[in-house]
Amino acid sequence: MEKQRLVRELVAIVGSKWVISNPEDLLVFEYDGSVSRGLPDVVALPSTVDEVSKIMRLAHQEGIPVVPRGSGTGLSGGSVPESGGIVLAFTRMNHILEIDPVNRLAVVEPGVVNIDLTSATSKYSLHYVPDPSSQRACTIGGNVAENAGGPHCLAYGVTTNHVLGTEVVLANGDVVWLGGKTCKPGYDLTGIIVGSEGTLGVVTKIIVRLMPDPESIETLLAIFKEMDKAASAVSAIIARGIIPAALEMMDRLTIQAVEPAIHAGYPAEAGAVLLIEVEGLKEEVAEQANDIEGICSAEGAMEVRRAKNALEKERLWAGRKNAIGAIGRLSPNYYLLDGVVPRTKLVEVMRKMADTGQRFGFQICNVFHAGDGNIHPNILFNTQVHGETQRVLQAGAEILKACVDAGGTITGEHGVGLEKREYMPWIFSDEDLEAMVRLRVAFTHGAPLNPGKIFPPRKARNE
Amino acid sequence: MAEVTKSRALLSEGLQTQGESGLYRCVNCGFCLNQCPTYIELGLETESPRGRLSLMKAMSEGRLELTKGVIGHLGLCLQCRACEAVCPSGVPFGRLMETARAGIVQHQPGSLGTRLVRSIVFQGLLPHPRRLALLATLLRFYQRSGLGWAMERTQVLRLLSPRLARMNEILPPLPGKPFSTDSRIVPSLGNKAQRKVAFFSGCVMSMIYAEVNEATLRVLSKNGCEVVVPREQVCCGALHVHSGERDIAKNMARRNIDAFMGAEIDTVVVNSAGCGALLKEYGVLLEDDPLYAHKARHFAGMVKDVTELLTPLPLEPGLGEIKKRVTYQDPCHLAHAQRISQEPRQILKSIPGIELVEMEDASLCCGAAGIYSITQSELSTRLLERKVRNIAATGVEVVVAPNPGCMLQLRLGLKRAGLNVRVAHLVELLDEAYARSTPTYPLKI
Amino acid sequence: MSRNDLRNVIGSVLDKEGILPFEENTGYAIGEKSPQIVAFPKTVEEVSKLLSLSTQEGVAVIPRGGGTQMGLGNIPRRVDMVVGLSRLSRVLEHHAADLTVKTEAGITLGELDSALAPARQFLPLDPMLPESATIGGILATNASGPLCLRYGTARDMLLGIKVVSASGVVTKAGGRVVKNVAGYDMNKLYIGSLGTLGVIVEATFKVAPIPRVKATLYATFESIEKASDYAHRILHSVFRPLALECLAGSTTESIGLKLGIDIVQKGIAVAALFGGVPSVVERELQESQDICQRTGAVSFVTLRGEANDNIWGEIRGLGRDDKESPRLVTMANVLPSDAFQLVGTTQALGEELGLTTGVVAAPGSGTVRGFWEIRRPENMDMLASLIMKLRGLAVDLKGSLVVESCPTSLKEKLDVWGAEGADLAIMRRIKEQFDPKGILNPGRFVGGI
Repeated sequence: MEKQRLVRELVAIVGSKWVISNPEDLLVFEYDGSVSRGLPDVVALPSTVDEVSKIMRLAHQEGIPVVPRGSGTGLSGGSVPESGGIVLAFTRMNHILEIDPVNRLAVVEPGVVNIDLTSATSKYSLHYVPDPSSQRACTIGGNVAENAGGPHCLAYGVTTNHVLGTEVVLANGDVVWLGGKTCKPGYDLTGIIVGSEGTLGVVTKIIVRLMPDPESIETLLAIFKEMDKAASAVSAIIARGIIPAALEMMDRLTIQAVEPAIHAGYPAEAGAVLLIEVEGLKEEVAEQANDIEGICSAEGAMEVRRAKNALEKERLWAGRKNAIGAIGRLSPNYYLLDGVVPRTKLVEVMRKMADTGQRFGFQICNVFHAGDGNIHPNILFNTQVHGETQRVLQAGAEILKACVDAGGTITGEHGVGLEKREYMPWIFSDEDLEAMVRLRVAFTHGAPLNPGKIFPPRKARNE
Repeated sequence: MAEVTKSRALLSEGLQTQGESGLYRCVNCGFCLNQCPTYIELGLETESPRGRLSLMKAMSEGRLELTKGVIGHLGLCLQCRACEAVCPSGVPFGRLMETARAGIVQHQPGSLGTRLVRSIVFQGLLPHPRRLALLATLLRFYQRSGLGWAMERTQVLRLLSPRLARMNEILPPLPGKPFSTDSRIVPSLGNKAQRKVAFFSGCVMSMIYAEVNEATLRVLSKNGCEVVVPREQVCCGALHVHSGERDIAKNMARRNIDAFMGAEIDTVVVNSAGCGALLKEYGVLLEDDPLYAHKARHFAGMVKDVTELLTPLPLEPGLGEIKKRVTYQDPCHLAHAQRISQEPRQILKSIPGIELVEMEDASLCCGAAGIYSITQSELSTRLLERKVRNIAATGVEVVVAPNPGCMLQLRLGLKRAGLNVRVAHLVELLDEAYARSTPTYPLKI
Repeated sequence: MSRNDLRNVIGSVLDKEGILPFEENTGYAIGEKSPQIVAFPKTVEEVSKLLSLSTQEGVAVIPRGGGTQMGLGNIPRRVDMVVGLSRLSRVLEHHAADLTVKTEAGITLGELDSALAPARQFLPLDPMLPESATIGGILATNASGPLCLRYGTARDMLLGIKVVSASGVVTKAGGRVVKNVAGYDMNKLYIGSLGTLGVIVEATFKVAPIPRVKATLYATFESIEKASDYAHRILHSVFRPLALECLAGSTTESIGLKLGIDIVQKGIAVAALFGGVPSVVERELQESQDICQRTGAVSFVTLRGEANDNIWGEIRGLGRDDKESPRLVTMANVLPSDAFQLVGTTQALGEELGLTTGVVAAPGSGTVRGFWEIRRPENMDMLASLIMKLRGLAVDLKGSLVVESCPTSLKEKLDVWGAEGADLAIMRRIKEQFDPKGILNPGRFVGGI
């Protein structure tokens, strides 16, 4: 379809104000939070499911790729329109449609910003659990697409564990509800849609579960001289049968980036810190906090601090939540990985990683969900230095391979997107991937819905 | 054409010098998005800090020309720097935007009328305190004559020029006399002066809020300060910098530094957030000036907002009761540029009788943003209306905003909404509280 | 293919113990349709070969675990071969320090929990008959029990899965780590798919530490309103019970009788299970007792140790098939806030029809099960209309109702799954993609899938 006609058709659906087609304006839709880039042909900002459906139908008739986008904070290129087409931006569909405090659920549009949901439910002493570090910016729709996690997903699960149902516009424009407020018989299509990276359908409404606020919360900061010791403390805590609400680790380099920016109070001399939060009834919180303190000391912690009040707690968390961005201070570019390893293999994989960093001559910052074994190495590099981008990708691949070899996986919460599609064959056989392709065909009949994501290019060609 | 290319080269050069330490710190994390008033209001990436930075990057890389559209996106920025305050990577957004604006001014001088007005305001008026004083007197005459009221009622002005009409509407009744900077020295009211400070009076404050300046002197004096008001001081240059007139601003910075460095002081006190933010950045503004770079850094280090100066001290006793519900609006250039947000609240809470009620999004820009309310009146109005709704929801009697731009804007919004909420500077309330229970407290200094 | 040919072909794939003597096949009938062959493969490869052959020859396959849920679903269109997984019963990897376990699908929940017990861990799923129910069957039927209040269902703990497709291809999904978003979440596809998309052969779970102590407060009330008031106060407190179930009608009586403990048998009972750190459990019990008093409980008793285990065993087992006296078991799912209303209507309907009726509801999740005694076969029309009526009520409450178990003669009169949604079209397409010849449990699942 000729671009001008496409623009006209889109304008007829959403209005001229909400179609972006000037080349200079399209430029700001070429990125997300990752290193991937791709220019869309046009951006449409629908405000209703009806508009979304019409756009999808139009795209379907014309065979135009559609790429859904929330706030563009994703870390795997999920919303980057690699092969152009229409970017469907959901910033206008940002209404919280319903909060049901009795049944502890909420119905939201996909463009609702994650933290806004928790803010809106706090008056009922309820909250939405998944809390990605980008929660002040990222949308629930994007969270659903990537099956986002966050520090507090250790005890209560990631996005998929908190989504009850979704209204989905299929590639051909049909609107269907998958799941709902109550359990219904049939295949768990909600479970399939969550984490499908916008390749099966476009989510237009989401029913989420809300969790009651705990009676008591204790936030601890355990300071270690060496990363190894912190990592063994993590294993020891889990092995003791304590599943904290959050169990986060930051290494020396990360602390050095965070402290000047955030002043979270992490000691500069530390080799690693663990940020641990336990919550629940006050008796159990007290007991678990004591146990954790004991375990950390036994594992060689230099000091274990406890936040004395809400302000101190907030400060400790501010360091963690801003860590990834703060690393931008150390280096012009960084390559952020999202590998997962069995928790007992943390020490082993961290050592291999350090070795990789040394061999390639890269500094690596580590800030991650230690309790889940979900590591986030940030490899510092500079795109301006010739050949460095290529080498950083190699180093990243080596680290992810180490994760896979240790029994882990290539992505824990950021999604495969464009970045890691080449690595999918490390964990899945042709047959495994074939099953996923079949599922996709069942949803899309082969329509180019967020094309190029998840599947290695070879596989994608066979679709 | 050659001219255009040269200007563009200049713009990208300007951005590139900031590049390594500035532009390329942005890692697209998006944390800034929902702090940005224009993004919140419009929901468009093009009108977000991250979007603007990526436009700047593209220009600096030569991928993008400085088109009308780009100028539009950059021009819509309020320069409130809310993005900068939350940026984990430490992108100096304010500076980058100022650089970009400077490039735009050189690249696209605008229509003859716009150029004329800019030249009159930025060069002919603001750097000259006496001309400003004269203007204030003329304006006051205009108001008292009933002409201003007539203009507003008859809408004649709106027909002539909507911008002038808006300016007419914004302007509150002016004081009888502008604030005088005639080398005054105000002694400390206490037994002995604990510190010697110099007061930066600010051009808008002096013209429109002379009384607030007087109150500031009294409160400082009561709290153990001997206050000097240097005579040779001029406008800080903030409006210039934000509009891309960096060279004029640099000149004014030099004049101010000369004016203040003469006095034996340890602090430069300012009660206007916008001025304070720039004064604190004089060091950066003049970093390339071999003669002034050092002095500018030293000067910048001495600048303190009045709330910043007062909070570490326990306030001098003698505060009378003010039984009022009050809400606090964070001026952008105090909260985001200077990172001062707790101090004013602490001071408010220390005044007996005052009940501080927080409004929703207190740190979101009210839409004033220097001359933004005049140049981008539509979006400014939307932000103002949002702000007024949030203020109304608190049910307060007073809204405190220690910055002249915010005070003018809030007053306008509340007036339009027909709400009976007083707009006050923080020191006004302090001053009133002292006046209530301290018999010796001077009414005039 | 004739029966003998089939037995010969299958026999070439399996060992001697792999095929059940023909005369025993009737014991494996489903919907009164007896299979021609009952096979017990002992390796994944054997399962693969069986299925590949089945697709080739168009043999209808009914996967089977412990047989506790064979009553679930519509009557299959065809029953050619039952594939029993009970010989695939090894625990493959237990990473105690990681709190993960990988197991073959034919192991029973009881056996798995025994293997985990030395590390003081367990799989927090508690469907009925844990000594018979297999992991594969539990996953295929998405079976859960009272503990889902605290621990969720299979979808919340399944980390990885290995499945043999209809054509015999072995595929896996997920992995052994607790967070994983590489590719589509295929785990979810197989949970609750009743073996219509493939045969589950292996599963990896995250397991939970066994709570240090457990105790139940069993309280009885004279009215639904009071019981509801009590239950909601507990559920909306800061407490985090492991389970909370409400019993009404014949179930309160039978539980009391079976336990042989001195609890009031009439009225409505609410059993709240608390677990964890001793000091917390004691506080939860104490404060719940206070709530009992405030909400006008007729009686309440604290059960610990064996008594505690027994009562939950009984509650979980209420839905089991009873060959002696066949029953109708319905499961409705409504919003938690509507659960007690449905408990009331379920009971009232039973009384209206003069049927012995028991109800067990989980007001935390909105699941309401009804147990109806079937005395005479001629009651079937009446029961069918009862189901339609109750289903109508559930649907009015924006919920659904599934018949979990009933005599075949009743199944012939209705669809056990209930109304179909707009998403059925997608489900059908998925089935076509995964089992194009329709050999797996044909017709047994939702919408005739």
